[in-house]
Amino acid sequence: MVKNIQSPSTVENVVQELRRGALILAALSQLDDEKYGYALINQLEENGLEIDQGTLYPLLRRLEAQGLLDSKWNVEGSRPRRYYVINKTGKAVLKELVMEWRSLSKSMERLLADVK
Amino acid sequence: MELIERYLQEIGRHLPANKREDILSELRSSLNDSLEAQTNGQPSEEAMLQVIKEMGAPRKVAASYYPEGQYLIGPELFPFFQFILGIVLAATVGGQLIAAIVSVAVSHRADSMVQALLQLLNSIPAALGSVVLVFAIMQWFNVRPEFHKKDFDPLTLPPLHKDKPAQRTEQVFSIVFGTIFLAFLCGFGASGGFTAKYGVNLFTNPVLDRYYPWIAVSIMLGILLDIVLLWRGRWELSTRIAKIGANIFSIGLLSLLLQGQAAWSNQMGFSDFVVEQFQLTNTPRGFQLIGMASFRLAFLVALIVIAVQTMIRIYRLIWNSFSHPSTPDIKMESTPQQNHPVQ
Repeated sequence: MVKNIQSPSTVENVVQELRRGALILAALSQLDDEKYGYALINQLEENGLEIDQGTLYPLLRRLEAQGLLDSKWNVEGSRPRRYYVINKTGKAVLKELVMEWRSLSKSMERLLADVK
Repeated sequence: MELIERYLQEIGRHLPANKREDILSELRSSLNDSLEAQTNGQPSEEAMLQVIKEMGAPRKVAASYYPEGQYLIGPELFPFFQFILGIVLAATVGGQLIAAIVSVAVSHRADSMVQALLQLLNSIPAALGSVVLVFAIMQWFNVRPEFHKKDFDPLTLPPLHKDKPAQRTEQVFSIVFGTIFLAFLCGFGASGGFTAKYGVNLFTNPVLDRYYPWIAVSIMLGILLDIVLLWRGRWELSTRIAKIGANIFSIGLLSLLLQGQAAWSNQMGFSDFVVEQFQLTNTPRGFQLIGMASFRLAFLVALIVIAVQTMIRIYRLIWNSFSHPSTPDIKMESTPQQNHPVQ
């Protein structure tokens, strides 16, 4: 009998690691039009991808620091909001990432076909 | 809304100052959006708690803005830090010990050695602190060592170790006891000569008194060598030769001490036999004679042990040079069966 030694935090850490790259791809793919963070969270959730605010905002900052996104504050509306949009470099990177994701996805499907 | 501001204030404490306001404004805006969406514009204390809990603990939220973590010295810099620290500590300890040896040899005074050893206790934390400070500044300004940017060439890897690994416990034991003995020696030397109490009587060992700085030098050489061995982690040709050299120095010194003891006995008009000296046990002179004889015996045992050890070391050195000639790595690749002999 195999003893289950995986603690919930171990599983959580592995899942987080697995999701990390996918979330970058997901965020970049939805920022063709400029959006503020909360709107992006909602859009991702509508498509079945849950992401908490504590993860998304730092992620958007990192992508901006890497030169893939542009951002600006918009003070119109009920409250000031920071809007993000993908830039030219970001689009080129996204294209590469999508190709990589599709290839990886196919390989993973084959590899996981027999996993029960 | 005060709760949100308290929450943001706590997050802000852990954020970098130059980005703090910007990040907090964005989080404030997001928390309010979230609150509004959940309560249809009628925020309640309960909903506020829920929204804050969803975002997470302040430290965790702040930490997620440091993608590489918050390090004093990060993983990229750490191997470089260890390398530099090793050099700096070796230079500090080695330099101080050499300075102490020179100081003893020149001044022939024990207090200068005590001073040098005390200085060593101060200089090690100072050296460690300086290196940590420099690397912490490098980490802060995101400076990375140049070798990370260079292409890795496997052919530049060092050859396989052929030398025997040094026993770390042996070195640590040797350093600790060598230092304790050295401190003991310095203490006695500084108090104006070698005296030991036997009941109410005192005796002085004039031979030890004459040679103690050189005994101290010999112990210091041993400690220095043990530090090098501990740092390198294995016996190498240079350390083997240095150990033999240090042993020969000790043998010479012990021979001088034995010779001095014999000369002292002759001068005092006693024969060399310990048994005869015991006949004078009840007199103050008898205590000195017993003390001198004990020292003589200890010197003799030490001389024999070191001489045997040195002969073994010389034999091993010669045996290693003849049976393991250095071969280029490329040759090993062409004859792989030599690396995996059949057991």
